Amino acid sequence: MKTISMLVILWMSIAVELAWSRSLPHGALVLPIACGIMFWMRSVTGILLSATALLIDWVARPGCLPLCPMLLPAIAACLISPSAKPDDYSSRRQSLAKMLTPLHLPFITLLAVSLQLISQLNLSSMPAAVDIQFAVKTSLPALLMISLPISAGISMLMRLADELGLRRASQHWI
Amino acid sequence: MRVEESRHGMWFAAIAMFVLSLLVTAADRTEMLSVLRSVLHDALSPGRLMLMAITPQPLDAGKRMSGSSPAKTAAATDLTAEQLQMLRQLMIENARLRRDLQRSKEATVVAEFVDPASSLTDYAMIPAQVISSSGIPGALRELIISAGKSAGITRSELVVDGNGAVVDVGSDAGVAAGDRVLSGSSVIGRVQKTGRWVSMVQPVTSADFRAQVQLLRTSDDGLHFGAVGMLEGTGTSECRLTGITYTDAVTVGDTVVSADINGVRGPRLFFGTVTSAEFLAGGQWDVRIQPGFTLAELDRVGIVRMSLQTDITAVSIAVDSRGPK
Repeated sequence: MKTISMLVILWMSIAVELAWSRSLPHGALVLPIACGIMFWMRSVTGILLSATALLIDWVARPGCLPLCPMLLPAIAACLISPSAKPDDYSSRRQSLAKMLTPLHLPFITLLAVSLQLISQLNLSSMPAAVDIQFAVKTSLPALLMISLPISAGISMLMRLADELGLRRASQHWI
Repeated sequence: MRVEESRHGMWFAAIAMFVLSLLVTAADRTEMLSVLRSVLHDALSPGRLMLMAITPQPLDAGKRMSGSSPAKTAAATDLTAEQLQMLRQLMIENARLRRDLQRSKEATVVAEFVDPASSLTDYAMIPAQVISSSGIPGALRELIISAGKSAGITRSELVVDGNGAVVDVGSDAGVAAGDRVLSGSSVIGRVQKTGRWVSMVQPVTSADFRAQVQLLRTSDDGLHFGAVGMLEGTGTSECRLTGITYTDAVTVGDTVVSADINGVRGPRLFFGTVTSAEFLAGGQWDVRIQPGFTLAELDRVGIVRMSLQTDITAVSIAVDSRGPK
């Protein structure tokens, strides 16, 4: 049921981007949602679902290279794979890495947006300085303006779900 | 143990997606994804169409996004594009009038036979939105537009830029069946495949694109139609003109317009401009053409549809009944 819901969300997010392609930059909605699903599910299924959706999005609207479906699963696996070390509940001090856990989602979204911009450049030859400047000055703020608030919203929603016990214990942030 | 399994599973999934992405990239480079792309867009279309139906989109939403000063620049660009289109229309109309005048002079000796098919055909433009394009800006490989079989689109119909319409006047403006239609719209390509809600466009620069075209030349005496040849895509950003005999004159800057649409005489559409014309040793012309559109401008296009005008009698009666009494 959860997998089907996630599939519908991903399908709708691509459809929304296509419908409003003149006002929504490519990836502004799909990238934070795909990253959010990876972090929400924290499982192999989540990684496969999101990466497949990103790959489908690339097939539908191709760029130079599908960098997001290529690299994001590996980055996500680094961040969400369960630790082999048992949690030390006896000491109340939290490590810095754990304190920064809620920022992982906005961080991976930022990475995804950067990969998306790189993949839109013509990489068959050395990209011109003007193209890079245009991407950084125009496309990046437009993408971040939409994708970062969405990823922050998903991050808060996940925290809320944890607090309310709507996610399984193994999927909790802390 | 379960933790280890889960971690290994995630890394295996990541590596599998990396390999799959590489395979998909290779398939895209070899143009094996065309069918899949069309199917995917069709699968996504119900959601897209539903959203578009519930939220009316402003026509210039994309242009307004850039802020106030770029919006002014965009408006200025639009104006220039409109002026250019008007200029093309006038150039084509002027050349046509000159030819008609010359023909009417000759008609005193030779009777002129009118092509009966021309009075039976009717042209209309179906607007569509560009959903996605593949290829680099210099060499467009493929274009997907938001009109398919549900809009009556069939294979091989010409796709033109969205500025202006092929037919913008009807019988209310005194246009009757048989009147010739002129337009300065630039040809982008041809419908290659049609899905339920989307169509795939083969751009004029594609290596498989062919169209019969005619040169339009400016001289001291005005504008004249020149040689008829075949425009062929080269797979790069420019096209090639073949079939020009060595006795015909070709000069850089000549305008290239359509000679016919799918074998039927129809509106004169703009294909591009001659950028280089070299006379080869073998007695042949090597003519290169720069297409009349740029990828950055492509967000709205039009599909030129030809249909048979079967109710000419009804139109004539309607026009007569509206006439002065």
